[in-house]
Amino acid sequence: MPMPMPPNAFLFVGALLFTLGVVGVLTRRNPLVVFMSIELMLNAVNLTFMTFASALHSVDGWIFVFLVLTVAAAEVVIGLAIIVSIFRSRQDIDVDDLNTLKG
Amino acid sequence: MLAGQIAFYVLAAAAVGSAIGVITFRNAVYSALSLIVNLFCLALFFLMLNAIFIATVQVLVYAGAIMVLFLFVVTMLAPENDDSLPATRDRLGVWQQTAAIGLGIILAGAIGYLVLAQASISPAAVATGSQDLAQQISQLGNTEAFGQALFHGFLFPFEVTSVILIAAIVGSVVLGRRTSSREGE
Amino acid sequence: MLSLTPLLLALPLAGFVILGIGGRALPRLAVAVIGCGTVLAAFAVALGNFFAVQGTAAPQDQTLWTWVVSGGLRIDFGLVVDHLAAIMMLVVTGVGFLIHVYAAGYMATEVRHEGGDALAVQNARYARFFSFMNLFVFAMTLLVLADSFLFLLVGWAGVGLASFLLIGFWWQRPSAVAAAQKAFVINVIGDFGLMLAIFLLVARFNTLSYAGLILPGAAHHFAVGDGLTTAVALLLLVAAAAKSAQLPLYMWLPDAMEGPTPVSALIHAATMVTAGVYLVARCHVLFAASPAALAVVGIMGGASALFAASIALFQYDIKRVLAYSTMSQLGYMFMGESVGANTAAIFHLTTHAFFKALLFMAAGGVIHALGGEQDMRRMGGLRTRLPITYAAFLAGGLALAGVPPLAGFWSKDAILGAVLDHATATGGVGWYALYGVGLLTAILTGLYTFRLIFVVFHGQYRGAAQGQRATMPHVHEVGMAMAAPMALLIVLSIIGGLDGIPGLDAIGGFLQPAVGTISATNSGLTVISLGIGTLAALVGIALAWQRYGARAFTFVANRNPLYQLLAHAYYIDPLLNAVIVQPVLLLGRGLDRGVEGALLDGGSKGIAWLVGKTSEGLRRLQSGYARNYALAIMLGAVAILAYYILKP
Repeated sequence: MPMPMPPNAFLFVGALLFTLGVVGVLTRRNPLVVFMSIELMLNAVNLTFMTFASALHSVDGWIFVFLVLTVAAAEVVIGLAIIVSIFRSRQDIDVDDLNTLKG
Repeated sequence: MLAGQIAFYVLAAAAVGSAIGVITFRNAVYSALSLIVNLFCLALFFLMLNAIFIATVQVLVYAGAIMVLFLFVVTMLAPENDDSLPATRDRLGVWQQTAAIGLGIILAGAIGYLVLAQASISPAAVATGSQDLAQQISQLGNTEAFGQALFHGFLFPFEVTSVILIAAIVGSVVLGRRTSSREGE
Repeated sequence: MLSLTPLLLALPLAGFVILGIGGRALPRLAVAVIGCGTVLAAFAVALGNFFAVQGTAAPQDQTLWTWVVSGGLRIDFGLVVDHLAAIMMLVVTGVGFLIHVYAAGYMATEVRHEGGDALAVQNARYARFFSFMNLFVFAMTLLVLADSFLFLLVGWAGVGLASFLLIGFWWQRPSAVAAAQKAFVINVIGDFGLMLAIFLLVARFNTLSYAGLILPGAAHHFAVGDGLTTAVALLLLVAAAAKSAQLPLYMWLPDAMEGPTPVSALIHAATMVTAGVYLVARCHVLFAASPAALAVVGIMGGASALFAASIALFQYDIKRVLAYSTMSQLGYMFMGESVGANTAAIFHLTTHAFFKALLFMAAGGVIHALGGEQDMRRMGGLRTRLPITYAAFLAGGLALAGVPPLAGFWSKDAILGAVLDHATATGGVGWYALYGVGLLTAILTGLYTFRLIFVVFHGQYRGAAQGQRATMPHVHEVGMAMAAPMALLIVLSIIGGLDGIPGLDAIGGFLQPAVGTISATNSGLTVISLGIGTLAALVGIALAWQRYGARAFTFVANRNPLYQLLAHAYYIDPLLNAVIVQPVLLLGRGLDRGVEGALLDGGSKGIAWLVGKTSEGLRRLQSGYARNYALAIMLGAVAILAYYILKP
């Protein structure tokens, strides 16, 4: 099945999703939502990889996506474990509370 | 071709809309559900790009495994009252929100400008692509083409991911252990 | 035998290291045995060397290793043994050993009196003292045995360091610390002169070894009339004056009396002050090529001799009198060297080491007997209570005054005879004047020496405060460790000069290969000079008897300006204080306030303030909010993207 749209259209969608993810990371204080926004960014990049793989007729992009999926899974496991343990010790989760590094 | 284009536009709108939902819903459960929609859209995009295997994995791993984990944690940790969005109650003030949104618009505009107005994939790059993906898929089938590439060209990175996963498992076990038992005594 | 020469350096150095590191853990007897033993062993080596060089003519130069090769300049570390070095080593290690033995007894009491602390502290001080003494001997042997000017400088500075450590041995006393600093500073002036001389030599001849410069058969010659010759000679003389406490760099010597008495003995008799005399004798080839420098040597020696003797007349501190007499006697030695009579100078150096060490030991005995009292005005009548000390003082005093046939007589009059001989040979008025100064000094020497003896040992005890009835405290005679070296030195003070009797002159003959031939001696003149010298000494003693011995001595305040001048050592110290010390202090204070305070401190404080303010501002950026940091990352990403878009 050939591509229904030129690759640039897919790339543009990826860019939009990525930007939305960034804005989410920057504006939300709930670490869970921040995490979701990061997933959003990862997926935007995945879309870009897939687009290029298709456009360049190369399977390498798929491999990258596969690896990103694996890393994202690992990252989510660790990240959620950290969030849970923070919640356990503080009874609250807010990224702005985690500011003990301030100068 | 027209059906494909319509499908693309619909999917794009759904993806962007659900992404906006992820970052704007005040309830984290809704955000998670939005994200599931978004991931689904992306899986369909992958399908549109002839990557059946990756699309399947996307649904299985992301929507199936990762998002379940998300929902589980969200519901466990006081999900109902997230007061993130009103900027006035933000300790960082309005300017963090404003700057973030402003920069986001600039970023999206810049990338979009580059993608739509300037960039194009050169035919030479297409010609030098290592394998003809379409031909491989037609000869071998989608999943087998992917497997050939993964286990012939990328065996070492593949093995490294197994190390990463093991590290993640060990890390989550360590983090999830109740340390209070020791402190309590 | 000469191959053992390195032991002369190694033994005292080993003693220094052992006692310095482990001394506090050793019992006192072991410390004393190590401290004295190393010097005794070194003396044995020196004795072997002495006999080994007897038949030889050329200096024995052994190169141990190469120190520096830089371009054409090559400096070896080596030891030179010739007749001069052999004699010097005998004096340094021999008299040094006797002083060490004396110190073993003396310091046992001293650490008890001064320390007053726990026994462990006293033991540690005892060990520290002996390690420094060994260091002193080591530095002096290096100074004498070095075969190049560079290692001469090392020994030279090492002697200065050791003297600093020992003069300031009782660092709890501010006066001792001040004296040590004074000695160090003035010695460094001398070191500086030596360094400049070394630079000149390297610049001109590109070598520093004695073998290449001043020993017989040297490759380079010092030309007569060459400006460099005189310059080097005068610079060496600065060094010699500082070490040997000659005018104008003598100020440290009287103050050096702050050190324990064995230190005074070691500085004055065996080591340190003899270094200057040794240096001039060692470089006699150089000085012989510069009549101007020789004249300066003579003027310096004569002036110092008379100057110091006159000051010694009215000092009340028993050790200070001896200190000024040392300076005066060293003046004699330089007088001898100025007329080329290096053998006589070294001869006098040797005999002086005997009787000056003896005098200091005896003075130490008196001081100990009276529980630390050094003021002659509170002594008197000690003759009967301290017979050994009295005998020692008498023998030393007679030798110092130059009464025949004691040691000082032969050596001093050898110098005076040489000066007179030179004067008649050249017919120079200046040389006659020098001889006159020598004679006058001889009279003064007899006077102040016997003033000391009469006031301290004769008459009535005056120990108590004014108006009270004077009763002598419990005085005790010196112990064995102190008496034995004194006895040996009494013998040496009496017979030590006999090897220099005119006509026999064994020591002169021995030294001749090393320090050059003496000018032809008119033997009749020598005999006349001996007679005049004896007469001068006797006149001095008679004056002392008439003034201090014949009738009961009482001190009265003397307002005579001349007396005041002499008693205050010509007011040199206040003068220096006003002319040099105060202006320097003033300058220092000004710089402290102006440059250091306003400029440097202000500048650095300003910079510190600036940095502090800047970082205070920057600190706001580190809010601790992760989202803020992420925003910064995004800003960077956008900026990079913008650069690529806007790039032409």
